Amino acid sequence: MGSGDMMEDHRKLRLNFCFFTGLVYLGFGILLLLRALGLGLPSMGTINIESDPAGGLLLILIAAIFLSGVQDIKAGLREGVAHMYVGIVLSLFFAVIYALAMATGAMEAWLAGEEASYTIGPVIYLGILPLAGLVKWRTGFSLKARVS
Amino acid sequence: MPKRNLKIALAGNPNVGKTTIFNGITGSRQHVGNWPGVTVEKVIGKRSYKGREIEVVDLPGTYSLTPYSMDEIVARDYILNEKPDVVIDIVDATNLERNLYLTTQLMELGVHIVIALNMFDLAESKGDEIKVDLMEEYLEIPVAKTIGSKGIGIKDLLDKVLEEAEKGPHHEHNIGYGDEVERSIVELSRILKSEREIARKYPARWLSVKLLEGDEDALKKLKGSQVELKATQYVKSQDLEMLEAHIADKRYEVIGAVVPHFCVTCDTLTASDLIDHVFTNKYLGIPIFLAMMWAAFQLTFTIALPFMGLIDMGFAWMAETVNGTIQPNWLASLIGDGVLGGVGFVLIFTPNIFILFFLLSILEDSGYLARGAFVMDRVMYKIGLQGKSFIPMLMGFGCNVPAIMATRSIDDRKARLTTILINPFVSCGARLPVYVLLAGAFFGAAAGTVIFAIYALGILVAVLSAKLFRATLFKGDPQPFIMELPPYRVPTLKASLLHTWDRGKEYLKKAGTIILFGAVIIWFLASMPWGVEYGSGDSYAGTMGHVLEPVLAPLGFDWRIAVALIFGFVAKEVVVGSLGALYGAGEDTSSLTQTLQDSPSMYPLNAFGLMAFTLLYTPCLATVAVIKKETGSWKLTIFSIVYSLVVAYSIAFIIFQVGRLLGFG
Repeated sequence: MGSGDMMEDHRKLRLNFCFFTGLVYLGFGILLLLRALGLGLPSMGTINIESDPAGGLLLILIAAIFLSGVQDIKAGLREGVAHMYVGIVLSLFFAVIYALAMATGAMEAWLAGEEASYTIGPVIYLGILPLAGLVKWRTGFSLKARVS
Repeated sequence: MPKRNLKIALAGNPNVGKTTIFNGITGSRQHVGNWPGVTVEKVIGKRSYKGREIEVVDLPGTYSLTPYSMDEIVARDYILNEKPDVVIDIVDATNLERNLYLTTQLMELGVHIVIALNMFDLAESKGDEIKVDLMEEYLEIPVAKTIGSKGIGIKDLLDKVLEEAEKGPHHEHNIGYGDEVERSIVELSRILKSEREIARKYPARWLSVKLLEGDEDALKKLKGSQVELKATQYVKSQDLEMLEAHIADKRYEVIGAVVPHFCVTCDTLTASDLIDHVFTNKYLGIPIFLAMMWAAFQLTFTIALPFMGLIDMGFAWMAETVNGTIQPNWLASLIGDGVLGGVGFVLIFTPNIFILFFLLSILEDSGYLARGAFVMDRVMYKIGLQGKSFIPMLMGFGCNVPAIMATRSIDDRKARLTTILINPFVSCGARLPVYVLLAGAFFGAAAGTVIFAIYALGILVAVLSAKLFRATLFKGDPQPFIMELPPYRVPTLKASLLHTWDRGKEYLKKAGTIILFGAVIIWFLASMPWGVEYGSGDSYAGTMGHVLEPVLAPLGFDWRIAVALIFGFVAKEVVVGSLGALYGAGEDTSSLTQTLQDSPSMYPLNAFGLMAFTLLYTPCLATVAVIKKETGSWKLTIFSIVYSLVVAYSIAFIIFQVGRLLGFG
């Protein structure tokens, strides 16, 4: 396989990653908002969709970042990689914030001698997608490298 | 024949090493004064070189020659009116694209230019290879490589200056702005050229471009001339805002097209630029900024909770010890209820304050807060302010006192006074304990979001007030501003912790001084006259509160809240201590939270109203003092106090009454 083909494969992979991750975040963001409005199915509870309007808006924002990069990646512009990079960083950042909030809630309950209860919501578990992206491209995030 | 003396002007962006080049040329022969009529510093130096006496004028550092600030007006007027023989344009070799923007404007003026390509050693060390001969060829301007800080390249620069000065009349370099704009330029030039005096003084094409950019100073140059009316009418028929953006875009387009010819390795887009493509995006920039701020407040509330619990337990233990060991009873009450209660309630919130300051430090040190100011500039401009006003507003999240002092950087007096008057609506750290207490007591898991909403309310009121002030008290259009965005950096833990400590220690200092004093006064008023139950309605504090209660009743506030708000004027943290004393909560916050929840006079609706009132009402004593100092006006200071009281009352009234109508009360 020539280097040109490899570059093309990389571009396609990034394109698919941005598109797929963006769609997933968008879908879950809408579900969180629906639940906050009192709509949605009871089965949402099985994937820990609780009333969290702020979380819903966050997921939609992250989706917007990923999806707005799709066109640039398709056109072979480095700006598209920037969207992917910022999307990954922000989604992990917010996942960490939710995880920290959960951990401190558990710690507080422990201090008060109560039993800790927590829910791992979509802001946290969806972090697996950007995490996979980070692992895949951890050394390839030089924004100087052109996406061709 | 003696050689004529030369007059040289040094132009360039701020921080490109202009002073080092100036010192390299003139040595110690300098004279410092002011430009006529303004407070901008004027530095003139002299130098004898190859038999010529050279006068060097150091122009103020500017990013462009569009007169957004006094510096730019001074620089442009000097070049236009004094007509120096040569302008040395000092260009930072590490940032060609931005620096060449000024160069394009100098080129349009048709003056003799020599470029001092300064700091080329730094450019080379980052891997940029700039081919000077090609740069000269493409720009049609002589270029000398310099390292001002080491005095390298000064002789070569002066040789090129002498050579350029000997050349005949210079033609201006034109940038093509596209067919439509070019037609307007030609039409306007035709109008301008019909008056000989204007045509003699200013290059017609340059003046036309400036007029189409909406340059008011250029319009002033036509005042009293025969072409004034016709040119003004023509200019007014154009969409100037669109044209200004289009012309700037075209200049950058030209720069972007030319630079790769003489520097193939110069990456015009750095990693920071690419990240900014997302963070400063027209549509994504503001939502990302709001999400970051929301995250900061969410963390401030949630992470602090266990630490608050630990401090609370410590104070509860101390209070218990005091009550069991100290005699007489009044002393035990003073220490337990007054000092430990008053100061303790405030110290419990130390983790929140430190976490908020730490997060703001990280955002600031990483370079993100500057992007916040950038994305908010559009909003600020719409409300009659400029992006520069956003920086004092951001500082206001820490403390309004230094934030109001920071407005000194705003040149436009009207914008500055507006920024001063709206700053107290930006919620400082001192108000955070009140929100944490009430949101924690009444809003459970949504506490972080409620606190964020209160901060957002403060910003909204500030924005609307600015709009109102700019339409009434301080009429006029704001000046656009240019800000330099620092590259993104990974913040170091040490620097962030130091910044946090610098800001946070003021809170601790206050707890040991003014809040301690306030706590003792409250204890006195809540305990006197002798024999009354501590914090009861029969105490002096109770009497004061009962007098004010009817005024605050429409907001859902009882006499205890009235007293707490009076003491909050000294320092906003005291509100929490006062509530603790007057609700008889003992010495720990968890019991105050419980007491507030159990009290029939407190419930979510009036708690939210109280948070809004605390956010908006009369700023603390120190802030009032600094408003007087910075505005120099008692009238404006009193206006600020009365205005904020009226706004706070109105908004708390709306929250309570509308909330009740909707069934929340």
